[in-house]
Amino acid sequence: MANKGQGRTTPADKNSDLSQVPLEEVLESRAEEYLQMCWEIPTENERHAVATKLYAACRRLSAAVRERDAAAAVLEIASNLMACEEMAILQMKTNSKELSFIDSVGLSEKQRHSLQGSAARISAGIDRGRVYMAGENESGDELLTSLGIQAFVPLWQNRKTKGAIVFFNLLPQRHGFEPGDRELLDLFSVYAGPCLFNA
Amino acid sequence: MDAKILLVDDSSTTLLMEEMLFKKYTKYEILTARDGAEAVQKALTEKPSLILMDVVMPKMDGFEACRTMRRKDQLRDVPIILVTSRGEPYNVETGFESGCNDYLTKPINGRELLEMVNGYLAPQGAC
Repeated sequence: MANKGQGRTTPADKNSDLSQVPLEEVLESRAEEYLQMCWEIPTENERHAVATKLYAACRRLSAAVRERDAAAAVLEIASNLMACEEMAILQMKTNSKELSFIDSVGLSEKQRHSLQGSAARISAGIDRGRVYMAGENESGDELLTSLGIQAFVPLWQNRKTKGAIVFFNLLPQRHGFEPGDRELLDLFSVYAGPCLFNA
Repeated sequence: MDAKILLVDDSSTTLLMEEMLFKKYTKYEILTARDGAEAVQKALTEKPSLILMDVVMPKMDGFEACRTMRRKDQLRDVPIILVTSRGEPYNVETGFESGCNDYLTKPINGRELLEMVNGYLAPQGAC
């Protein structure tokens, strides 16, 4: 699993490897790697919980490729593994940068309007290609913070960003993100795009 | 004989995770259902040792399925653990009123899940 910090492989790097092998095979292979980690790490270790989630996410995305229900799969994975039920999957047109909703769940009118009203800046955020999590703010994240976005995941396909998953509030039992959430969001950034846009 | 667990959830993600954990760390036999109505039917025919059930599901939700099971003589004493993203106190209270024995909120933590289930079933099948 990738760690934050120097030398980290970016979602774009990982995404670029996907053109050579069928996506379903890649996802099953990643699932096997995470399963192996589960076997090797004691259940008391925090990494075990992370590996378990990533295993389930890869297997679900792999099934989504077969069943062509990638958008539903992304929403379901996030709901079940992150406890977020306010989110949208956006697609960005390559040339015009125009945004459209692929799917969403639990958004209030205000949240929907704020996304539509800030479309140009959201598109700029997609072009930056960086996963954002509230609390890890960097320069350029001000818009996302001001819209109440808790996490923002650019979706890569063929080394280009084609959309994003936008996460608003987590459910009340979650008091912010945990280390494993970052890895799940990175996984979405690499694999959800090909699942959604190749379908 | 190993204990039998009925996993009930409309989310494939949760079922994948739960099945993996139980197959790896226990000897329990695993059955699955995708909604409350199927769960009631399967519970009546398969007589599981424990039921792990989501709340928000199509056809029949987990609360209703729990109430229905508690009205059946064969299922009155089967431990039912509700597993749901609905962790608000009101929902937890409704869960216990519907007859569940325990309540876990998503996202599931594998260790907590195994400990809770083994607490009800050990030494029937725990590793």
